[in-house]
Amino acid sequence: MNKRSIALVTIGVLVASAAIFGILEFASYKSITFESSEQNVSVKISNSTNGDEIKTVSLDEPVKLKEGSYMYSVTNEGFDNSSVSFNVSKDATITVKTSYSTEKLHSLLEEVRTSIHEVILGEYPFVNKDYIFGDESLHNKGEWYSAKLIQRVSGGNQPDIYRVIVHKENKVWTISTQPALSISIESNKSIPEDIIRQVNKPLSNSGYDLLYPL
Amino acid sequence: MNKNLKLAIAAAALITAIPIAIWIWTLISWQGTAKVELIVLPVDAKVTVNDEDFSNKKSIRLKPGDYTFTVSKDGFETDTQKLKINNSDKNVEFFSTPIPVSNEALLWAEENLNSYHKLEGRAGKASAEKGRELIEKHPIVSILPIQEAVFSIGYKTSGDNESLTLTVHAEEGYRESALQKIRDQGYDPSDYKIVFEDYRSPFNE
Repeated sequence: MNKRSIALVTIGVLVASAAIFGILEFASYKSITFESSEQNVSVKISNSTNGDEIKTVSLDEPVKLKEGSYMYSVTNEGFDNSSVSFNVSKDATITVKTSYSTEKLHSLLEEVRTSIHEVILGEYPFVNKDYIFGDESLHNKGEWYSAKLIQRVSGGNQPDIYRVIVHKENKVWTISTQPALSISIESNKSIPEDIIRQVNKPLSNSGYDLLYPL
Repeated sequence: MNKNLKLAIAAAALITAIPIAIWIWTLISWQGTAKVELIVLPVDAKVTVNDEDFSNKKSIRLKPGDYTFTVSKDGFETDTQKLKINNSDKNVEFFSTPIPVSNEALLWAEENLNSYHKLEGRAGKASAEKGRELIEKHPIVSILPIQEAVFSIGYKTSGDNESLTLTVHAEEGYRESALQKIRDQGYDPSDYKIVFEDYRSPFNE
């Protein structure tokens, strides 16, 4: 085999290797599309290792990502921008959970608190005299409300704490489950699990401050 | 074929068909029932189930439901147990060892200690197996019951151990403390049905 042949074979091998590498590299990228029930949402995609931003995309705009782990977060003002992890192993559509930010939910709570209290007191009038509303929160996009009804007690007695969840459907607030010392996920499948877990947590310090003001 | 041969063949077919038919009928009648093995000592004790006598039977077939087993023999205290057969039960063991009270019965019991030990071993094994299955399904059971000065936390299960309910007895003002104890043990009360006993919620209609 002469030098020319050797050179040609070497070049051929290099070209073939480059082509194979290129194909494999291209194949490792997958098409990811983000969707949401909310309109005009922007999603920031970050490296899961160091948090560096990779790209910000709009809904329904496919993005090519290499196989691996990433995080996304909603960038729109007023929305919860916590990072959510996701893995890329094949072409996929990811449903973006959009819930309002804590600040926005606090602000909305002030607008709806009175209406919700009226619903609860309408069903259980004795709450006004015997209990204090504590750890009140709105959840998701403000259509779920949870609170702890703290029994008014005197001296150093410990109160019973009843958890209550109210839901807004078709613009009407309705009590989702009878106030209870502890709410079970199994018995309340229509209520989002994270809301139940949140309301079942111990009474916060600010809740105790309501009961025992300094 | 002569007449006698035909008769012989017909007779043989009938003799074969009858037991097969009985066997098929038995299998059909067993559908939806659980086999309940009766393990009693003394072995000749009278055994009734919902007042039906099943004495001297090693096993019986029962449909899903609630049953009252009564085991009795002269000289022994009558043992009454309730047993629930669930839809999912296939093989159930029923153990009973009525307590000897008369002198004769006590003497008999002494002479048959080996039989008691064998039965206890078998009952213990069955019980341990059920306990392991329960803990696998509901790990919280491994820390229960909890007994404190002002509250206690126990549990009850459905017959097939699928469903677990925590039961809490607590003095006034300590129900939240009982829930906190569950959290302190690494469990979330949200994952359980919790019944507070000897207590009526003011929110009950």
